[in-house]
Amino acid sequence: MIFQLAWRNVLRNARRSLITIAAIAIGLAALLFLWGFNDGVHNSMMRNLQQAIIGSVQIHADGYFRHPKLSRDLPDVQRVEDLLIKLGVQQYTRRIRTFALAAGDDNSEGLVLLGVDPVREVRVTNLHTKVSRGRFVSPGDGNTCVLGATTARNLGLTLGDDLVLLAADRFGALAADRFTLVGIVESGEMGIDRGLVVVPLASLDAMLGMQGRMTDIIVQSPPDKLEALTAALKQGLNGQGDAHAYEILRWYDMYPMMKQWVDLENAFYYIFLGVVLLIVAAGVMNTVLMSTLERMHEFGIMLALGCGGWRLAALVGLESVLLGLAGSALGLVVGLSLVGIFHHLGIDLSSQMDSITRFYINPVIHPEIDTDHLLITLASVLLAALLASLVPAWRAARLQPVEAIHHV
Amino acid sequence: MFDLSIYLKLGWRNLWLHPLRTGLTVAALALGIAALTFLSAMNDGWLQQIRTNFALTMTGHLQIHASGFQQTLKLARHIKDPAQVMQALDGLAGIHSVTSRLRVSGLASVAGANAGALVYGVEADKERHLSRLAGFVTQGRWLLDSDDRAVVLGDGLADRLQVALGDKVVLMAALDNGDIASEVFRVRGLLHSGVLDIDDLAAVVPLGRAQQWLDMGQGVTDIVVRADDFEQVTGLVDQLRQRLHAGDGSQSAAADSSGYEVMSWSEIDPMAEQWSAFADAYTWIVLAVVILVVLAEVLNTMLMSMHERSREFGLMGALGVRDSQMFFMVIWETVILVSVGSVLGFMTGGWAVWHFGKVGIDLSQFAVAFSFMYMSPVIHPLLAFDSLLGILGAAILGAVVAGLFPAWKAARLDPAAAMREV
Amino acid sequence: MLRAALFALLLMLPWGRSMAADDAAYHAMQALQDLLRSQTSIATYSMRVSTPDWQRSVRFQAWDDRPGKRFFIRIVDPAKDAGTGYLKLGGNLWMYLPKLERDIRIPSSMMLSSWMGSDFTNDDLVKSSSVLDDYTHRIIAHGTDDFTVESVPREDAPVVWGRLEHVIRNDGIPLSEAFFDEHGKQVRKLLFSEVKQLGGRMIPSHWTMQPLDEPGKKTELILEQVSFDAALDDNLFTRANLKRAGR
Repeated sequence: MIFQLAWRNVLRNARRSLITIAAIAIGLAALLFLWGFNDGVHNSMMRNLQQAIIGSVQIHADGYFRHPKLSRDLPDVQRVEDLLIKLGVQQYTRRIRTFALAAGDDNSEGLVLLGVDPVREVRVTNLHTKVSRGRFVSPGDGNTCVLGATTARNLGLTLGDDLVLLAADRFGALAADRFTLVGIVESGEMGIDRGLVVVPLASLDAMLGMQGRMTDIIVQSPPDKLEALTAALKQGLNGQGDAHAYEILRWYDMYPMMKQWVDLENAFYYIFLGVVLLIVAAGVMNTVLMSTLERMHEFGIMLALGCGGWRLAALVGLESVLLGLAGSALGLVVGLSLVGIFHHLGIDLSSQMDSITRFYINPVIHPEIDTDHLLITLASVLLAALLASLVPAWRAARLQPVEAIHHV
Repeated sequence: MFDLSIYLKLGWRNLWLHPLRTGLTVAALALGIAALTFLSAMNDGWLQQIRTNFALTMTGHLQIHASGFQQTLKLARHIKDPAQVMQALDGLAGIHSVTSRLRVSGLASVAGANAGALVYGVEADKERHLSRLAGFVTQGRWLLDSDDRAVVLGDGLADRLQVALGDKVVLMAALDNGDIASEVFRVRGLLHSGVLDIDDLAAVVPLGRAQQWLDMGQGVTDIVVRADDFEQVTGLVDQLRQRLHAGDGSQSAAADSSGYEVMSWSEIDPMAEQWSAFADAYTWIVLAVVILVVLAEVLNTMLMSMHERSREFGLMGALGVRDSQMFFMVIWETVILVSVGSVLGFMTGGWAVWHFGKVGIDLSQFAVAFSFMYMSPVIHPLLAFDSLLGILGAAILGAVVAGLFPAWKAARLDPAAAMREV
Repeated sequence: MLRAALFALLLMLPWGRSMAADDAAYHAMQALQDLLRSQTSIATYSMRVSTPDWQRSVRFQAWDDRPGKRFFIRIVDPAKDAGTGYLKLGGNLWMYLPKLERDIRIPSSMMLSSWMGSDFTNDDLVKSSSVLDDYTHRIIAHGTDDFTVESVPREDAPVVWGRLEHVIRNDGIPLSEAFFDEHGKQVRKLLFSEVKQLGGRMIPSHWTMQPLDEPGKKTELILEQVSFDAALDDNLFTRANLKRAGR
């Protein structure tokens, strides 16, 4: 009964209803767009970081990450890879990683030395796409290497030059070998452009006497499957009663900075969006209150006709709920469309960023929205709209018929 | 003119006639402006914090080296005569403090462990006034001018070496002729800065001992200047380059090492500058959307109030009030509303900025404990003049939109139709 | 022999104007030094490094000129490493690899890395003749056949150890040496055995170094041949000679 009345009221005052709906819809759409922008930046940052070099998950012999020593190689590479295949993982590769010195004529530079499988590496990371001069290491290469641009410049090397690398071999003895520079990587990331050298796995194996032993297995996984995959790997490798022989590390277990940054910025964002929510709520309350004001005359007549105060309040409240729902629905559609449209178009911030890619941020931002952010925003706006309608409903309940009718 | 003043009075009276409506509209405006003021202050405060933390953690506002040092980090490229540089610094305005350092990479070792280290020879007391290093000491104490073989280690480095206060650490580094020299130090303090490169690598020792150990005489590698504020930096760098005939640090390693290079904090490490530029662009997009929301909400409130008043306007129209007169009346009302709303908004926002600027906004309850990037989880909002202008612009724009549109609508109302509407 | 470089260094023998806190201890250490060291030596060693997982050995020749603070090492065996050379000149250590046909100065950041995979560091080679006067010595125990000398580094000596303990037979032959950190925890241990007539003296020919934080790991150094106080050619200690691939 009340519901029908409320429904009719909403439809009858089309303009008033539209203004209120617009107030809610604009607010929600704006909030969704902002989340989309924020999540778009963050997710691409995290993706880029994982794809650049470190992967989503790394598997080592236990303790290798904190104390990387070649004598701490993976106990059973085949077993790990069999498990990965069983778990349906396709993007994985093996590496040897150690610390090396590039010996120049009178200077030397400390480097992270990566031996990669040229075939599989390119399917797992996108380091090869950052090669600005020359090429990436490829199958069939002998002693070739790819260097970061800054390191190459510091050592005064150009393509075709020889680089002598010095590293402790598996027995701890100093080993050295000569590698021909075939490619230079320019990524904009300091950790890659400076301090990294990539060589073919087989060459590094020979230099360090590894005889097929590996230190890292790198796995690429979509974010929503990451936790389950990690748990399955831990279960499969360490869970069978044998000594804790492997360590399975997610990207943020190894490099927590970016995740912490994202958490911090999200916290900052919650405050920002909380304030926006306040504005939206105030806007809704204003429009609803204003319309109550306008409808004093009508309310007075209803009260005079014997409609009880609380019934009237329920009616006003219900109208607000209807408007709130309609506004949220509209806001949801508009907001998600905005996110979708800009996801395809991209928002170009390169003029603000000197077109330098740093911190793994693309200067062109493609908004996308995380489900939890979508739900929490939707719920907050609905709640705000409902809370905002409590005041007018309460006023309606306490109205005196005569006073109301005489209201201009 | 006489004609108009009646409508001015009428507008003024209208506002007082409907205190609730007026109050709501003013509140909408005030809230929007307060929110914008507060949000942009939060952003400014954050960015300022990143820059300040970055510059004062270690780098200082500007540094003077022997030319080519920043690129090569070779001890051979050191300042042989620091007094000459100090002379050039004499009488420059805007300098907060100056200190000298000796910076060399080496190896720290104890019985059973060793780790790479970045050794900083510092002037204990001057350093305490210049950078935030001394403030990061979490265990033990900072160096004293009277210390000789004392070292303050980053806590990450101390952890790798498994050393505690009072323990012996041997530092080893190559002299500029390539020979390797060792020196023994006692751990007097541990520091935690949240910056990985410092916590995992820094070994801070007294400058005098470092010079003796590395056979440097009076030589230093860095002369670090802290300016009174960021605005002074560019001017100081220019003046110093002129006085010292110095370069900007971009010359190649082959450059003549007898000269100097003068580098500002952002040239030494462009990261913080680029990062804050990006964060700024980021927040301005967010602020632009917020401005849009505020405008929409204010406009909504005005429209609703127009809607409610259509009867009144219709009546006035029927009584022969001309469109232009009605237009001016509504504009006048809006001007009053916007002025009052803006003043209230700025006052509220300003109060919030002042209040939270003092106590800070603690984000650590939202985010995990973080320890990096020169960030602290407590944000102190700070209102920059530029941002203030931006908001003022937005408010005026808001007033124009919020005022013109309803006024235009009021003026175009058909009296009969307007009166029919309930 | 490489005594100044490897042996004496490992023994951490005090020499020069040591602040003899204890005259008897000082004389005992000096006697030890006289036994094991000469001005110059030419020697052949084999070294065996073993861990629970692997084992490997090398044979090398060493020319040592202690007063000149220089020495030269050439690997003889196995074939894979043959020809590799090390040259110490003052504070610098150079390595030559025949495969690369060039020599490399070992940078300061690698000075504390293992030498040839053993439990000796590159720095052990370089520091050899400079560290020894950094300790003060006293006798802390007398057994029936042997006695123990404790060596404590002076306050300003750039030495990582907290203290050393040498066990010396009454006839002056060393038995063992223990290395302690500052908190009194033993970090590594050196044992002497196989006393033999070599180079005209009775000296232990077999040294075993055990790092106590790596159970099962040890480095054995066996002196095969030595001649003391031989005349050494200056041309030996040059980078040119280093680069002259093996012999």
